[in-house]
Amino acid sequence: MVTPANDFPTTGAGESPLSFWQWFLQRVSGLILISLVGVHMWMGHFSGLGEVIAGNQDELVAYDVVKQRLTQGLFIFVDFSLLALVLYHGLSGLCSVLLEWPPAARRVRQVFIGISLLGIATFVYGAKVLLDFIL
Amino acid sequence: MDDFTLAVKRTGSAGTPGWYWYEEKVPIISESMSVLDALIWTRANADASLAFRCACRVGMCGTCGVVINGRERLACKTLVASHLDASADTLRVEPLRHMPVIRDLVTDPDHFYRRLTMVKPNLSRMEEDQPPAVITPNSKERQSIDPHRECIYCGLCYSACSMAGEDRGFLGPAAINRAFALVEDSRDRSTGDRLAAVDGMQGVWNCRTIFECTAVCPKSIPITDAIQRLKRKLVLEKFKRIFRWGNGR
Amino acid sequence: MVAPLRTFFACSGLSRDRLSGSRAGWWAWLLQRVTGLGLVIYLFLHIGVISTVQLGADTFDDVLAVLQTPFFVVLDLMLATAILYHGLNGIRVILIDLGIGIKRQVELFWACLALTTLTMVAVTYFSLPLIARG
Repeated sequence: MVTPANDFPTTGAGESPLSFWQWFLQRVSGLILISLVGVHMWMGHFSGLGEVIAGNQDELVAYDVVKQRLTQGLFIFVDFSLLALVLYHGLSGLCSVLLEWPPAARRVRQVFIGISLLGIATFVYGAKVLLDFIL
Repeated sequence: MDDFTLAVKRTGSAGTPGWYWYEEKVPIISESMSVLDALIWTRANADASLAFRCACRVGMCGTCGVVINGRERLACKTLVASHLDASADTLRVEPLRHMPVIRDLVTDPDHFYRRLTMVKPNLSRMEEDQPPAVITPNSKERQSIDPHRECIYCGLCYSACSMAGEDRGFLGPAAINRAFALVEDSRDRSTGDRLAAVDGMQGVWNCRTIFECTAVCPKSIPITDAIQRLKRKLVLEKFKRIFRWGNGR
Repeated sequence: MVAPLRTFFACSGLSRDRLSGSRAGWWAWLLQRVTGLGLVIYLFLHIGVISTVQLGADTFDDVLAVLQTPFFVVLDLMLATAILYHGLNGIRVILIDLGIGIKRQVELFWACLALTTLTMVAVTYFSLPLIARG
């Protein structure tokens, strides 16, 4: 029983250089995110814990706390970089998972474009939200 | 324990699509009884229509690859006694995954072999006037290649790989392992073509380092290591090309 | 449609047989995938929550006050667990890509789990007053 040539799965090896770059950038973004997410989790979720427990501060996170943090250049850089990188890393991972599903794998271009548009739109929206704190 | 239950996943007979579990009480003839022995006994004494493949019966040819209790193994090398105890007296045998099933435990390896051909699995010949290559047994090159030349193309790794599938284009562990063995071989002249063949979404970049291939290989070939080494080679080649170092591909 | 779906689930390792036995590499991959997908969903929820600032500082503070109640603190701890495991296993994957510890990939996986567990036990201990104050 020999598989007819036109029934063989498409997307043979060596087709797209993007696969290497997706693999490579996923690792680079992941490594950078280890530090950025660490900083963000600490600042956003765990620093000031002592103040809250002692009763000197009502909440860990509030408008004033976030606004005050986003007056510092370092945290503006961290938050914008985090938004861009975590969106890239997350959506690239989602793309990989989706493309393992054969029906999606037959529509690589559409999946890639769809997820890219989602990522760009989310970044623009997220950046606008950050600017609401900064400006 | 004098006997055990052999449960085989079988295809329906003509006119009855689908599959079913066929169970048979098989006597344990000796401590060294293999799963293949159990299948042969069943065909000889219970149901002559049971279909399975075997050839050498000593773990050299890779023909009798099946899934035993959820794990890919060679039936001739898997002892019945190692899977049975007081609480478990049933051995489940299924056909290899990711290959179309012809009947019962017999699968069509066409997809598997087709992927092998995509990496040019044969050594490219040297020019006639080239001196013979000298590769000593204890050379670094030989030590690097030797484990990967043990492949018997049994297909167990292809069955175990989560990224492989009959409707997917992934080359699979065996093909990439073969590509690696030839890429590392200084006698071979098709390194560029092979690296191009494994460089892509259906090549090395699709490997998720789950290590199932390495775990099930009956020849203990470090397959995932071969895939990772090819990835590193490709990364180096790409950056050489970007920055115009040496003779980047 | 059935055959590709069946292949998908078999290939993704969700078939019954794959759940038996110890397969560290497969579990590592599965947990990485589950935490990754969970974090992607959380990411969009997080952006949505922070975007309530567009409705005014008071609304933002009200929303955040709800999200700092004990129930959500517990969810936060689960989030931190997911992030920690995902990051540590990511480092494990990168080490394997570099050829470091490839023969010890099972031990590396257990180390990831152990480090995640120990860290989260410590973080949960220090977060107990926050959970208790509700």
